[in-house]
Amino acid sequence: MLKKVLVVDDSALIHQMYKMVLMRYRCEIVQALNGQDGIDKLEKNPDVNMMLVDINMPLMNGLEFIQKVKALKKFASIPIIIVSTEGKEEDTQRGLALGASGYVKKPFQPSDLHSLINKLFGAPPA
Amino acid sequence: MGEANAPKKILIVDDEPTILLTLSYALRSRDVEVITASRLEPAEEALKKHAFDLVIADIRMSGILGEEGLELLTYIRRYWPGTKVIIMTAHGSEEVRQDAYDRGATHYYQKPVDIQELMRKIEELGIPLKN
Repeated sequence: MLKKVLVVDDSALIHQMYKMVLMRYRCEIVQALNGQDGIDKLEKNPDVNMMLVDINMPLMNGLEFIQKVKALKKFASIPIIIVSTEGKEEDTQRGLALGASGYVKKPFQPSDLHSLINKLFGAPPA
Repeated sequence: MGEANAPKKILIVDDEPTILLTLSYALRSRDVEVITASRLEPAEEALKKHAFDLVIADIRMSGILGEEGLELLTYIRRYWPGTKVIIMTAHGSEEVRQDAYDRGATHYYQKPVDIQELMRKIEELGIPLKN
């Protein structure tokens, strides 16, 4: 079954990178440019299987987004991966305390992200 | 340069962390060995230590001159004339483009970066990327 991933990040370049990564897993990607956009996209795509969420974003940041999603019963069980920045460990810990399933720290290697996705979705098709 | 079957080695020089992250991620996913630098001096140090197949350098970094990428290009042409160099900029003009080619750039790339397009360009320059 095709997996659907919501990516919440304010960088168009980061979206390009995730697209390349997730294509290998034959995922359908839903893109959002901030937390509020993420909530809107989630309402339109309630069948999302995983979310990749940046912390620093305008309008609604990643922590506010996680808090909001976890308060909405219909979305609370969807795994959230935090994409954090080196030196911002406190934010990562807050995100995990709010219910995120895991995190990757920028700058990350392909293997870091792949092993997290593998854990959730299994290895990509050969 | 390395042997034919050895992994290709690329140096990326840019002061934007997102550029370094996304390009190095994309290239490492294609089995390229990547080294990154966000300033001129560490880039020059990396060049002394490694034999690169390609250098991708932004023109404007956070130094005083505002054209560190072109300075790096001149340095590369002086000591490693055979190394391919892609010069990138978000502040381009015909004059800047001509200056880059006059200094020996292999390719001039106008930002914003499109990762797929840049990967295709790298392959066109004779650097094979694994699928």
